[in-house]
Amino acid sequence: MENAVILHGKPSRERYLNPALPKPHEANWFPWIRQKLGEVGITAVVPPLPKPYFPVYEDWKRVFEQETVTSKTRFACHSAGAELFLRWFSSHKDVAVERAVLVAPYADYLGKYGDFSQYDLDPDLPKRVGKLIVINSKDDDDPIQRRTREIVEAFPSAELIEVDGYGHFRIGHNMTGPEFPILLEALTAS
Amino acid sequence: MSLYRAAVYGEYQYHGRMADVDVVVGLAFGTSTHPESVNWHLAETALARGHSCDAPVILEGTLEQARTTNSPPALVIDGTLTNSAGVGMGADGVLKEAKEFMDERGMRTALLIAQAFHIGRVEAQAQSRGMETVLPFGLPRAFDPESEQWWTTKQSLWIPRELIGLGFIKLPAPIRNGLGRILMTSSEPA
Repeated sequence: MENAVILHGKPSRERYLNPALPKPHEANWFPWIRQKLGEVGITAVVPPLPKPYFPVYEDWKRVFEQETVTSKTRFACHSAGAELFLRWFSSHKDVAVERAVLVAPYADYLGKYGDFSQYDLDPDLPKRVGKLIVINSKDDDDPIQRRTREIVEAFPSAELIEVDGYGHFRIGHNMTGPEFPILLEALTAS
Repeated sequence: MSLYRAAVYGEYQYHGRMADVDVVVGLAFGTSTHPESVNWHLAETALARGHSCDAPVILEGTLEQARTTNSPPALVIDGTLTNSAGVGMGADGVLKEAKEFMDERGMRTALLIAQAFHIGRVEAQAQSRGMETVLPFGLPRAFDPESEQWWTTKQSLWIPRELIGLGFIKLPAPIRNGLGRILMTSSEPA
């Protein structure tokens, strides 16, 4: 079975606790991409990660590890979700996946979230990922630009897709609707 | 203790892996079925998980009425709505039928989908029927303010009734069965 795991990012505490706003795993382009992948026979899940406004690696990892990951699994990882993927994958060297698309990858440079970003990227990680793609919007914040550069420099085989006008790929942060065809293409093109 | 934590605080230990799931069992909470109701969330969660786990889905009748996803479950379990005396099909009745479905197919492990304050008891009942269980993170916590079952309308009404109910299910089977017969008789129409 072909499957996909979509990892959401870190909302602000205010956004998360606002009952008028969808929860992170139900927000932005997540329902749209899940549906589109389903239409091409790829079952996708967006696991809700605990206390998403304050990522704790061990807590996020525990939930993430409930999901099915095989050599046919595709990942779409947004912001702090990309950091979870990179850290988990760097420390699980026996796991290989079909591809991973990192959207606006985030790192906790200021150490606000404990050891969340304290790990070493596995330089051989791309050998275990059929395709590694980074999607960056030029109008996203500086730390995201910095993390994007770090990843493509660390992994020269990674494909960088640069766009403009998507901000941090959140509705309300330059993105105006849930459709994200660039991501769909990145996840499904052979 | 975890049974009581779930009943009082809606906190439960998520565990297990989706790869081990043979069947998904969705149990209702309250009686509302409109979109965005807790039962709608439970139904949609169960169906999405069934799809991603490639596993059949068993839904309690209320969830079948609530679902909007166009993917019918493998089995719908209908029964009398539980009344305030605890008489009716209830979670245990649903689990009994679910177990029969599983036994007929040689299935062992069920992913249980129920409201967060309800899941502790549901899991205890499932395990007492011999099911191996998986619980996902992030089950809905909402109550059903429009429910026909007063104890599911809000947390302050849920807790006392549930604590009494938990005491009841911990009684030795002969006493529990005797009390059950008395309640059945006293709740029959005159």
